[in-house]
Amino acid sequence: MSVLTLENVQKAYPGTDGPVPVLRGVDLSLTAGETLALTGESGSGKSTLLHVAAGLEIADSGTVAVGGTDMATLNDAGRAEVRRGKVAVIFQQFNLIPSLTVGANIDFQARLAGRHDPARSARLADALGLKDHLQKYPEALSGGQQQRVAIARALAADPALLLADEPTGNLDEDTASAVMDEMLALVGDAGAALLMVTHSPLMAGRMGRHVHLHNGAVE
Amino acid sequence: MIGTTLGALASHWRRHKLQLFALLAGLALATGLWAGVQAINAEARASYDAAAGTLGEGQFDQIVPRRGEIMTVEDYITLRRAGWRVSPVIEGRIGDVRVLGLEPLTSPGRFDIGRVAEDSGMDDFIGPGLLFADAVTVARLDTDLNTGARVIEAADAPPNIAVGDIGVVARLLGRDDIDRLLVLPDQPRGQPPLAQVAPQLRLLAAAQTADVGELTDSFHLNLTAFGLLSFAVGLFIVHSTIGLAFEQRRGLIRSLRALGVPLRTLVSLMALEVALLALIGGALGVALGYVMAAALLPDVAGALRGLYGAEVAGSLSLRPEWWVSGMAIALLGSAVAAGGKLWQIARMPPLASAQPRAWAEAARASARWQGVAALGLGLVALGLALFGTGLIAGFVTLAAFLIAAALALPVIIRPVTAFAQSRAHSPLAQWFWADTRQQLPGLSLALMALLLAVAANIGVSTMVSSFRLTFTAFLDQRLAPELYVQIEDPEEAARLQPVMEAAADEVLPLLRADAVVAGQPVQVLGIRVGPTYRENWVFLGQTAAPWDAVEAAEAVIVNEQFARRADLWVGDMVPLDTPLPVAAVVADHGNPSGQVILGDALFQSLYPGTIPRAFGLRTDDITGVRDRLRAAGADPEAMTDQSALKRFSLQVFERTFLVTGALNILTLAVAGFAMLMSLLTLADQRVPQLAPVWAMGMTRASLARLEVIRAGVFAAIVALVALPVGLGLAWVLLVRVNVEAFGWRLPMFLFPGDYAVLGAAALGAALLAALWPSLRLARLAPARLLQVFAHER
Repeated sequence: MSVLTLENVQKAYPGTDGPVPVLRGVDLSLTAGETLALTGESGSGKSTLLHVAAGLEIADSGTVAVGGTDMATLNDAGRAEVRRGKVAVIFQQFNLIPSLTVGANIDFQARLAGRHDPARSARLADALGLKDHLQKYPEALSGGQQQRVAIARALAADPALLLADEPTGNLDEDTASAVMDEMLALVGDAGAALLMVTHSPLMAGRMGRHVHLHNGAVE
Repeated sequence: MIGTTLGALASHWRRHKLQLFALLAGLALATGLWAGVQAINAEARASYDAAAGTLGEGQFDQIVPRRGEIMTVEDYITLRRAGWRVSPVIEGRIGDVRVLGLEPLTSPGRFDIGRVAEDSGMDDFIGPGLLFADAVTVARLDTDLNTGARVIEAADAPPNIAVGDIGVVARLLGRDDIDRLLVLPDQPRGQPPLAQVAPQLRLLAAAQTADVGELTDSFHLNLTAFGLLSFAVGLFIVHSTIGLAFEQRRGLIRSLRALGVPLRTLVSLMALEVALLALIGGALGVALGYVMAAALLPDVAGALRGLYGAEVAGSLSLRPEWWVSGMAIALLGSAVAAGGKLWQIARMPPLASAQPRAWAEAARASARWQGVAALGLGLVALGLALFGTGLIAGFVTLAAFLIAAALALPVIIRPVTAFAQSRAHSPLAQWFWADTRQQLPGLSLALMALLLAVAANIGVSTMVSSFRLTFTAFLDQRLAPELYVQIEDPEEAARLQPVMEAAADEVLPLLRADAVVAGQPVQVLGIRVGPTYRENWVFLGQTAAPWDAVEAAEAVIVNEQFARRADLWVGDMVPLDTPLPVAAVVADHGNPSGQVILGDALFQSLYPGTIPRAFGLRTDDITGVRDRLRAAGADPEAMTDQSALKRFSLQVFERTFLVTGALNILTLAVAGFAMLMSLLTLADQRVPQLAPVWAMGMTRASLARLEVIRAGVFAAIVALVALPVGLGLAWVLLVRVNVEAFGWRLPMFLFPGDYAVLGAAALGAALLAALWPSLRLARLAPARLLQVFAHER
């Protein structure tokens, strides 16, 4: 069953000389357990596509469906409910909550979604090497550790669709590879679909499928 | 979801305890100053009501004995038998508690001894030594005064007064006479006149015993205005800390929305959070207000007693009207402070809420709006100052002017710092000015609060000092006679006038009649024009020889209150029986009534048979004149010497402004606190800005010094801007509000020395406020500064 479906999705931003098209009729679909790498040069529309898929931005036209629900038919509260219940996003800038401890950050989205499972959170923290940092605040962690917290938070919510925006972009090669290993293993265990934006051909090569975006269109 | 989101929002406060303290302290201070003033007003008003209800003062005509006479129970019985519906009153003092005896069956006051006695389980309110008083007075009578009376607590008893049955009080005071009879409103027709039934008694009309509630209105209005101003200053702290808390939670807001918290839920929860904080801060503020009001109340009570003879309780009750208004204004203030930010969040796309540029754009738009609003409000203030009428217009002028000045402050500071930067040569100086400009948005609210506080201090000190100078000169002018003698009846006047003429250098009889002139109730005064008036009186406006015209019955002098109310000035005709022109307008501070002053001959022709009720005597030998008058039968209590009168007037004046002085200092302290809290809460944000300069070779100590200097620069600019704003405030108070509230206009004097001291105080407050954050910066661990680079990617 398709977890994410994008059909002829178009999106433009206002510019000084009129609208600037960012996505030009993108078609894409992702089924449960599938992993997809989305590559493309800067400005090709990768992050916009990810945001549209998460319901954080609205497509100008075309269809965006998450778990069969057409996002265009939902209001802000409806889109938020889809994000809470079915989607998890791993942001490039982590987006951790600085005033909560690492442990509370990991649990946070699962609690929002009403699916908090302490054992699952503990397993994830253990698997991602965060067990000894649970009482610390994010500011006390390195960039790599913070990224692992963001991954743990996303997976703890047990989403059907995981959207990751360059999750290893801030990490050195060895750490990136280790984090990737863990993330793929955990996604596989959970049977979730993963759409990952990346610049790295190496990381893209580890995903099940690879789509290249050029000038707002799939090549 | 709601609990989890609220927990995440609350976690910010757990991690930023100082910010939470600043917010609650700001709310508590703002609410406290407001609630404190309201508590004082509420207590005073309740006291007036209780006194009016119990005593019937100001409500009923009274019958009192003529001087030298006493009123007996037989007089009361005679009057009752003659059909007069009257109720006897006796009063005296035990220690400084006023003890009042009423006749429960006939007393028209609200305080019903019979009911109170019944409520207290008493069978008999006339029982031996039974008195009723409020809790404080009960304690005083029981412990301090040892009266032997049994004093029962009655919640609605007026302050500092013990009430009892007239027989009980007469026994306690060892008296068998009556002080006065209250004349009930419904009198039977055809009763014999008082002079016939009891010629030794006289009737005082209710109008002659003024209603203290009305008299004290202006005093309370003054206090309320101060409370509101103090609240506005405190509100800047709230606005500043709430703004900062929202700014610092940009990332959190973005994360929450990205993780699936609906916008409406998020905004509602943030509004709920603000409301909860407002309730906590408001409650603390009400408690603070209670303490402040309890501390100030004795002085206020003293001022009101001295000014208007109004008894106000020296202790405070937790009356709903002030603590509810305190909580309401805390909620309203927080809503105003948070409303803009919540609106901003509600309109931003989910991912834009964390982008500094989006907020900077919003801030720039808000700065533009601020400039436009300042200009608009300035024009409103100007228009109202020139063309507005009425007290409300006066206060709206004040509010518009002060808010316009506060909003304009950042608009004024920005080009000053830009100019300084353009003139700076060294890179450090250039960075300093650029950095100063960068700090402006974060500090502007605290600076506005400081501006309001300093301007209010300048304005009010100018008003009070101008008032003091004018009042002193006025007392010298109007209280020129060395001795004043009050006369009761024509016989006494006939007996004493020759003695006065013989003993004093100059005798100034004062004839008086009440009348309505030009639609205004006025006192018409007849005076004997002589050297004292000619040499001492200074006029606001006059013809070439006003006294000659008055003496020749060709013109009149009017006081300023009447001139303004009747819209008359020098040369205009006053519609007396024979219309006469105004020869001069005289300032008459502290007197609420309008006056028309005539020569004594003209007065006698208009009001034939009137005898002077007061005389002013010019003499170098006050004691000698007093002795001769006493020997001729004058009542010593009816003679007042000028120096005692002046001393008393000035004492009352000083005490009146003691309260406003205390509020002034509190306001400045609150503004200093606002500055401290802003600097402390901004300190964390400063680290990434300062770390690169530190890395390039500046020491932490020199950076800390520059922070102190920056605060000094800001305070100096604020003090300079506050001077014209404060003088503008004083002008509105003296020329508009005073005229509308009291009917007279005060000249405005300038006091550069006072302003210099206030400027130094503002500078001192800002430097003190900057000291703590600067010390923290000087001691900041290098690792903390290095962290900035470690996190930069």
